[in-house]
Amino acid sequence: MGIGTFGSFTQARLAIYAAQTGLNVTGNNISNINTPGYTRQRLDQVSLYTAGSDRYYAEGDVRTGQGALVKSLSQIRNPYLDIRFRAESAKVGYMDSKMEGLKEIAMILDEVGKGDISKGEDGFGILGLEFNKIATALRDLVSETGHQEYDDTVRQTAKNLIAKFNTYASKLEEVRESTVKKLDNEVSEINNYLTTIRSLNEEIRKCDIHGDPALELRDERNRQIDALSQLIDINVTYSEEEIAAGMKVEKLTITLDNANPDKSITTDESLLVDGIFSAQLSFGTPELNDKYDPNLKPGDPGYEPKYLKADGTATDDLREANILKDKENPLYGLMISELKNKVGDLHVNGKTYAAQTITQADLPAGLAFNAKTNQGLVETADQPDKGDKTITIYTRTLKPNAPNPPTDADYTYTKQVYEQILTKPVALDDNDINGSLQAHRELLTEEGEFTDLNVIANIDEGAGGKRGIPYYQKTLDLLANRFAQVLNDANQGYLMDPDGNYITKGQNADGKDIGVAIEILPGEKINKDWDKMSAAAQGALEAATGITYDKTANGGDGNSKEILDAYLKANGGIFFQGGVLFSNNPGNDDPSNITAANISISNTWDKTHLLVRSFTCPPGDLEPASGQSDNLTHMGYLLDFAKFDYVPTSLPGNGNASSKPMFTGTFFEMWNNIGTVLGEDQTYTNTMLNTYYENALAIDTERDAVSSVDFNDEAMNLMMYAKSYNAACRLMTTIDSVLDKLINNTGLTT
Amino acid sequence: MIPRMTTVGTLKNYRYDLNRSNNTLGKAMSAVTTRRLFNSYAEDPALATRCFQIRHSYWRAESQLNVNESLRHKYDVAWSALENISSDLYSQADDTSVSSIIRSASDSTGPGRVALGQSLTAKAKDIAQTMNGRYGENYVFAGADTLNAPFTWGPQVNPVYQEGGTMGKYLKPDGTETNVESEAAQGLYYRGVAVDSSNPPDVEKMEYFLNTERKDIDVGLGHKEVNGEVVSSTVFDSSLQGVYYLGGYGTQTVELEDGTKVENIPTNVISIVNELGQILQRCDPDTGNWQSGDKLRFDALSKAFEDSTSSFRERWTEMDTQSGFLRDNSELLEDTTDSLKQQYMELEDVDPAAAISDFMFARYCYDAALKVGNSILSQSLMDYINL
Repeated sequence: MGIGTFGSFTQARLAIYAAQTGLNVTGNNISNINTPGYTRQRLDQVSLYTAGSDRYYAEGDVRTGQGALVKSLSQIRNPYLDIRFRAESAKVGYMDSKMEGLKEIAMILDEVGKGDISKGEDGFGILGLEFNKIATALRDLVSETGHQEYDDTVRQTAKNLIAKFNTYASKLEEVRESTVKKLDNEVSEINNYLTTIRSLNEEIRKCDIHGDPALELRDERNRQIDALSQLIDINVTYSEEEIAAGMKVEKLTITLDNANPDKSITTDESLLVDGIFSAQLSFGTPELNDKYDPNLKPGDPGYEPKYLKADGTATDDLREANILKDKENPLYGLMISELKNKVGDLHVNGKTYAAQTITQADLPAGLAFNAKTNQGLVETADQPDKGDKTITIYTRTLKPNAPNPPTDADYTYTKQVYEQILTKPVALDDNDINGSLQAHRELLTEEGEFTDLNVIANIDEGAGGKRGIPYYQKTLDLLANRFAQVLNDANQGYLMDPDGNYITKGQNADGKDIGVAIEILPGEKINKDWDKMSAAAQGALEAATGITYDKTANGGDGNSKEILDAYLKANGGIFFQGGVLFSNNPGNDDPSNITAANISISNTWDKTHLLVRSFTCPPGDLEPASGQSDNLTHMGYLLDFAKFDYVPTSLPGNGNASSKPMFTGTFFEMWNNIGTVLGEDQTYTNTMLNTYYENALAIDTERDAVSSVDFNDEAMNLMMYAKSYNAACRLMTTIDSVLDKLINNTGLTT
Repeated sequence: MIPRMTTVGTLKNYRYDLNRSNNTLGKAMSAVTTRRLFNSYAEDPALATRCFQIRHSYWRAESQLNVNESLRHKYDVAWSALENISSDLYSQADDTSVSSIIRSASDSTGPGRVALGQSLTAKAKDIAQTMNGRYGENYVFAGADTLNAPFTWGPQVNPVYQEGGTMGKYLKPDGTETNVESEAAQGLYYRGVAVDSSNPPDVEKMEYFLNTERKDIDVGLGHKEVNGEVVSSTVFDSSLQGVYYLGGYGTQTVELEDGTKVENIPTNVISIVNELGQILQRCDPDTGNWQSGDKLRFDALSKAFEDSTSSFRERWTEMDTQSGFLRDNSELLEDTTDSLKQQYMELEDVDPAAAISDFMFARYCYDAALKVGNSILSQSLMDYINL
């Protein structure tokens, strides 16, 4: 049967409706051309054809379609491009945030082109120039030794230098604090995204149930996922979830994207969102049990659980572990919570194993079958208190021709295993994530050469090459500390005669006070040069001080200075000269634990002229010549020419870092090196950022090619649907005209 | 299949390209306004590092040049002082020079000898005064004791006195020994040590002043230390020991033309002149007769004075050489600073022509990019559709 008499009107009506809907869709596309995340929509229409046999078959009957049916609206997206974009987006996010952090550090430490233009010092730097100025002031003091105004100039230049150290340290700390805030914000942002995506999943699920494609909700979800992918690397999958017999809805799952290069680690694939369940991120790290051996498994002899509870007992359950936070979590370790739905139900992940045919002998003892369902159920609680369980369902089927009543042997048996795994929190490994969040974590934690060797051995073997804010803080601290230590050492000592023998007060034949060499044994003088003393004198010094000479101590310089200082301090070293120039506080003379933040002019130097011009007295004299400046010249050498090893372990509080020198050079060269390392880091990061950004842009352009709205396309659609609409109206007019002829004019005679 | 270029995609790409074009323009503008090729380590870490090192070397060389110039002036002052002293001592043309006075003292009358003696004593004091000259606030000829006048007058020590010995420590104006300081004639001291003393502690000190004491200054010779000891060739020893230029310290034995040897004749020329003055003043003011033994000593002192001429000139020339070295070093340091400045400017500074043309091109590109944007925004099928 073909279309009915008035069916043609329906055909025209459907055509008008389809064209009208097409125009609406086109209008919606045009309207949303600037809507972020909007995916262009397409009207899916099909030809309406009612199938089925007519009651009476008539040969020659031609069957035609009954018009156009608007079936649905769909989005035009390419999931593969989404995956590629999100993978690239995490890399862009990582490099972008790292670059931003490095730029903030560079704003402080990069002195290229900087300087006081009014003094013609532009380009000489600021802190770097202060090293030059203090060397120049010392050189001037050598020429004008004994004139206090030059002494004051050295002190003033030193003050200027340490003021720069203090300022830079303080600014770096500000950058660190602001990065902590950014990190906190990012975790909150991620949690918001996860919650929003979960909510959107719920809405989309409802719509799915009601048959609504929920395109706008999907757009919004995609937008949220795109934004999330910049903060943290994710893997997004879509699957179908059976919510009732035969009814399936789409389920979106987001996991971490396997960022950890250590393939044995699985926490880098943890679930973040599973349909209507989602997790939350938080800072924290479980307290580890020192006795835990990762090579042993539970049940092995000597196995100790991995974590410690708050009461100090061991456990393998992360939920019971003592979670360290704030200062006890210096690496800003992250944890993923259990997945929960809107009302707080915990997520249960099920796994169904294939059914197996078994024999009667395989049945567990005492298994009772339900007479109606012929099923027996065994529930094994692997960890009953945690909710995990395994359910095994045994099904029996009566064999053909079995007697009545049957015996157990008259059945065949199958076994089906179901596993239910309750969601649990996850403690993330140091390298489990990528994206902006990881960049901020690394900016806050990575110490480069200062990294604790235990961290390199147990947490991140690549940590020694990663440099964040702490690296630059510690490098600056090391420079300030070494600078203070070298000059403090150079400015303290005991008076000597020209041969290097330490002197004390004696008298000549006229009873006048003169300088005479101290003798530790009759005729055995104490010389600053250990090797110039006899074995007897050396032995006497060791015995008197209780310190054994070690030629290899202090990086090969030997420990003779410690022995001599100890002896002289205790035995008649009345001619101690100088004192501490730099201390850890302007109110004291304590040279311990000096950092860039606390380095100060010592209290004594601030009030007196403390610089020692010389320790060498002319023969018989009790003080150096008034213009003698060999110690000032030596200090000038130390400042401007001497190369030092900068060893991370020498910085207080870094005893377990690398003991190899991170750099060898003058103070200025060390300062310059900080800028060079930072510049190299920035250059690399910028190159990678540009690469990843170009890639992301290219992929995004490809996505746009598929999904975004184009005016030309929509103009074409406008024309197409407008013409279709006109044509459908024309069809209706034609049908009306035809039927008018048929109804009103056919068969009538006049 | 031809890729579908959408309005949204085109706009997104355009936004990125426009941003990049603007960024390039900004960099070009920065190069023109700052006249620098780079403004951060990140732009060229290796070059920035090199430039900072060169600037550091420049700053150091400039500081060394300043110190060297100051030293050069000090040596000029010292050289002039020695020139005056040379004239005072050895000028043949000047009747008031020590040389002329000694020459005339031999054949002068009695009162004339005393007057000449007074004149010589005054000359000795004048020379010591000249040697106490200062450059700035520092005594030029004081070795490393630059805050104290190097030459002073004190009780004349007995040159043969030894600590713990039985001889008198000092000499009276008549040349006899005494242990009473107030009775002693006036003798020359250098940095508190009697110049004519043979007492071992005094000799040890003098030896230290002349042979060991240094006042090292970094004037760009590659300052280096090994095991905490400065390598002497890498610094300049700026200590001028006044006593060295005037013949040194201690005493000598002078052999006269007739073979007579006279012992304990001062080595130092001021001491010689001073003692000559004392001997002449001891002459009988009426007859001009010498005191006993004074004639022999006068002759020996006169010979010692004559002999000191060559030594004085040698050491003066030595100073001239040092002064010349400092002059040359100043030129070298000036060349170094000029060269370093040139070098860092070449590395850091933009070529104005290149920078401006780069800027113009960047602006041209940016303007063009803006025009392209205008076309993108205005043109589509929507503008031509006619339903």
